[in-house]
Amino acid sequence: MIRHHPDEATLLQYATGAMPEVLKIVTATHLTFCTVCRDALADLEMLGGILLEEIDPLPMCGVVRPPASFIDLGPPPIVNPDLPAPLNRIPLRTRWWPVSAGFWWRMMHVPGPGWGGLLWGRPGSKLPRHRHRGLELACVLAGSFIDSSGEYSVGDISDPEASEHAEVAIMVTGSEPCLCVLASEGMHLRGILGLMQRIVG
Amino acid sequence: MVASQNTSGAAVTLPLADRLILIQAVAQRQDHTAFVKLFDYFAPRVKALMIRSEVDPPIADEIAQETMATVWRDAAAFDPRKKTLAGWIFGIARDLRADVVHGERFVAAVRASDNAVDPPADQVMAIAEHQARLKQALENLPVEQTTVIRKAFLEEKTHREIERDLHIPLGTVKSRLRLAIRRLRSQLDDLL
Repeated sequence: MIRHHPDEATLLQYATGAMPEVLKIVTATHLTFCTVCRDALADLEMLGGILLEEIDPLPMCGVVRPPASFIDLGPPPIVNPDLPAPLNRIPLRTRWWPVSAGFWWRMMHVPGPGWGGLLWGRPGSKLPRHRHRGLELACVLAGSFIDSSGEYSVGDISDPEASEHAEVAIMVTGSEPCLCVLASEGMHLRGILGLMQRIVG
Repeated sequence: MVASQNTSGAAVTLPLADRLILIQAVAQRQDHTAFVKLFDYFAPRVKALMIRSEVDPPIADEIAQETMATVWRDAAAFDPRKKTLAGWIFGIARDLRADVVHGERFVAAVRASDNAVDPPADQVMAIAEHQARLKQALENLPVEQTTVIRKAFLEEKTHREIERDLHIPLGTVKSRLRLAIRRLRSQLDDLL
């Protein structure tokens, strides 16, 4: 049972394509768990179709090319069979880095703006307070954590309102470690440095 | 051969009833004539969509071509119970732009996961009715909400870019988008 969904404005940004790829990957991870959001996405794409038909068409320059010329590379290969789709196809750096007491971080290898990776937390560990700028999404893959807006378990996505002042504290709950995929627009420092910089507690 | 077909102009309309027949003809018989009709209607619209989102004209043409090539190849995967043809094509074009323009390497993986679990087969919705309601609801939205919706979908703008373009605070951009989406979807609720 999914209890935490992305903000409507976030899902819309995913539907229009105007989102860094690394954040699309986290959103898509939630979508694999959440039928409610898949339905909402289908409606948004239908809306995209309606708007596509509203605009004035522009003549094509060439002729209709023989479709046989199209070479499809297909989805990238599965490199992490233990992770749910689409993370199973996203390359990860091999090393886990300690970021705070009880927390480890492993970077996703995705070019483009923003950064992301896996965050692993031991039961009972706390990320004291953390600040974020812009969009920051985290989807739970195993275990659970709690913050000021409630408890997050497998499939739940955290999409807190970004603010210069908001500081979110999280704690791993239950007896299992918590594994999340996390991505951020993080405009200044990337990856582990960004993560550590934002832990102000 | 399809290659000889000239497409200097764009088809003005393509009735909803014809679309299903045409896409099924492509899916089942690789019918070139049916494909050309779909091409003449949709390719110039996809190109216009790309130009709106500031893609260079030659690339816009290329993406429109590739979008239609994907329609040709994946026609059998189109599920008319879940999607409209225009909505499906919008999604294909969006993903190709991500790949070609933004160099996104994992769009294919991300797209595959969107359909991870199929809805139950008996949950067949009257998709045409669904679309008609959505269209009507869109027309009834306040203008400040349709403006942000159009910018988001047609110009591929992020919330921050809309903030800059329209000189309205980020919070207002988001709340207008949220309100618009809630209103649009509320018109569909009793259909599901």
